[in-house]
Amino acid sequence: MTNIESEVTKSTEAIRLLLVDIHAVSRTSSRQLLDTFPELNVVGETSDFKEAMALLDDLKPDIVLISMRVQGATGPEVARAILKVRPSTKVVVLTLFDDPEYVRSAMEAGAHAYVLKQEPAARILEAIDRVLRGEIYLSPGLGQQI
Amino acid sequence: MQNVNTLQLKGRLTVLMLAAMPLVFAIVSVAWIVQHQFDELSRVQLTSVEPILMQARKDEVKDFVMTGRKAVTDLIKRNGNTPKTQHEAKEMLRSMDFGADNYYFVYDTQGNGVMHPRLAAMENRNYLGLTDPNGVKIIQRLIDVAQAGGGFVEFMWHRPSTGNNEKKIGYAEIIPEWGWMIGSGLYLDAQQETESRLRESIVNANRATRKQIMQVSFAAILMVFLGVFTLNQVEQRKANTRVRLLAQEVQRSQELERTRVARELHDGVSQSLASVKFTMESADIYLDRGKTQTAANSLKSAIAHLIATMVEVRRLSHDLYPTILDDGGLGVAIEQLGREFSSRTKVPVHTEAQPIPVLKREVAWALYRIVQQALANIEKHAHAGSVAIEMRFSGGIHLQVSDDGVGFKLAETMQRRGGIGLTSMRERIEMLGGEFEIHSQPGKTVLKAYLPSESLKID
Repeated sequence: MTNIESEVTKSTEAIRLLLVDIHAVSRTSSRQLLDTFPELNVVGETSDFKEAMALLDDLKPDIVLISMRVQGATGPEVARAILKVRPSTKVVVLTLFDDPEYVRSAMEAGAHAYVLKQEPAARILEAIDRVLRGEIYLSPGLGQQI
Repeated sequence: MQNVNTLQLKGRLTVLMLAAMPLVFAIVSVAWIVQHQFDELSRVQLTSVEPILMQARKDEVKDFVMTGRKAVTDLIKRNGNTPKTQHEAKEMLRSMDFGADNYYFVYDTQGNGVMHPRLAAMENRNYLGLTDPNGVKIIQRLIDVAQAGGGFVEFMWHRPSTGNNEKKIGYAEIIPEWGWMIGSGLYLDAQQETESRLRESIVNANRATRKQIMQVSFAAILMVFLGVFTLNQVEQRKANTRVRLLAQEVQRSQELERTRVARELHDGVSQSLASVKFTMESADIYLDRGKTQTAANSLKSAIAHLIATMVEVRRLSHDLYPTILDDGGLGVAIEQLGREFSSRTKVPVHTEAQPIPVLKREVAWALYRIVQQALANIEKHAHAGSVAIEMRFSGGIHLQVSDDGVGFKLAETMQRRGGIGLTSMRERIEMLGGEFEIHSQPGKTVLKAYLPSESLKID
């Protein structure tokens, strides 16, 4: 796989992101995508629950993007753990699962947004924007389902 | 399945025959022996009873004659030896007449008739020469035995009550005062009657015994049938349980397979496609910003991911159903299994699979799965240095998978859940009417499956 370096210079006010996804392939490419936006700064990535908690403490991200399964825990468990340690953190779920049960369990665990990987990248930006303003965001269509 | 049922039926009939034949043989033998014993017993009884009966008749007639003689002797003592007394004695004896055939007769020692209550004409005539149909000089013999101190004579006599010549036993004594021979006789029919009654009772006992033997035999044969029937039921139930367990096992492995496929679709294919999508979106953004080189790199990366995804999909579909079974035949499919095993595990596989004419799909599938399962077992447990797969056709299909690995203990393995793999291999083959065997020891494990020609017929 060709290594694509970030061509974008991050401002000091860029939003700090932590990426937690069990699937390495899709984590790498989603990081490359997120890196193209100057207002976002991916400060760390991991597939493992414990490592995610350690990085949370070290990097103090504004936003944590999590998949519905990570190494050693489920998405909702990760969301709960993060919000317990740093309640100010915004948790955005980025996943392929569109089943209402998954959406509901994530939102009940305190996640602020639920975005599907199969949707355009702009949705991720929109979700981040909304949760930082204190709103809840769901990919279009998911809202009616739950 | 048809074959299996027919085989089972044949087996059941054989069991029934094997169980019933010795029983029938035993019954016939016992009946014959009993019959023989009865005949022997009745013969012995009759021969032993005959003299006793005869003795009883003899005693009877002797007592009767002695009674008559004593009465005459008493009369002489009382009334004196006179012609008048002689006349009284004659009349007394004549009147001592009991029943149809019990009476006295008196002759003098010259054989002249003195008194005969039934044949008055006989008196005062000489009967010394009287013979019965068998040539016995009746009167002569009676006088002889009487003069010898009393004795018996057997002869034929005209029986007044029936009008026939019948066998009679006579006894005679002498009244010395007058030179009279006093005698009487008994017909032996009573004895013959007793004998025939005895014979009849033996025949009846024989018949009753035969009836009992028949009843016991019937009960025993019934029990054999019931036993075989019960055994059959039990076996049927066992077979049903096995089929049910197999069905459960098949379902379980289907579910496991579906779970595995679903997971691979989600974790592999879908994530790869998501990654392709992210990378292409990155390229799109770079293009918007005029950064064509970076965009091109992203696209190359996306293409590489797409190719990997295509390989993944192909592998998944191959796992679900090896289309090579249909396209290339069982031999080629087995060669492919061997090659894949070898490239995955780096263990050399020697495959010798004869091309086999078109097979029933289920047969090809069963043999394919057995080889697949066997290779999976070897890969997981055997630590083999080499593997050999052999399939040849002669009067049926012979399949053999062998390895030089650590081996296993069959009994222990069958008890564990892991042994189910072996059970389902066996079931697959037996359901098709074939045979399955496996031998294992350290350094040599051989699995053999045989399907006879009949089970291979094309649908």
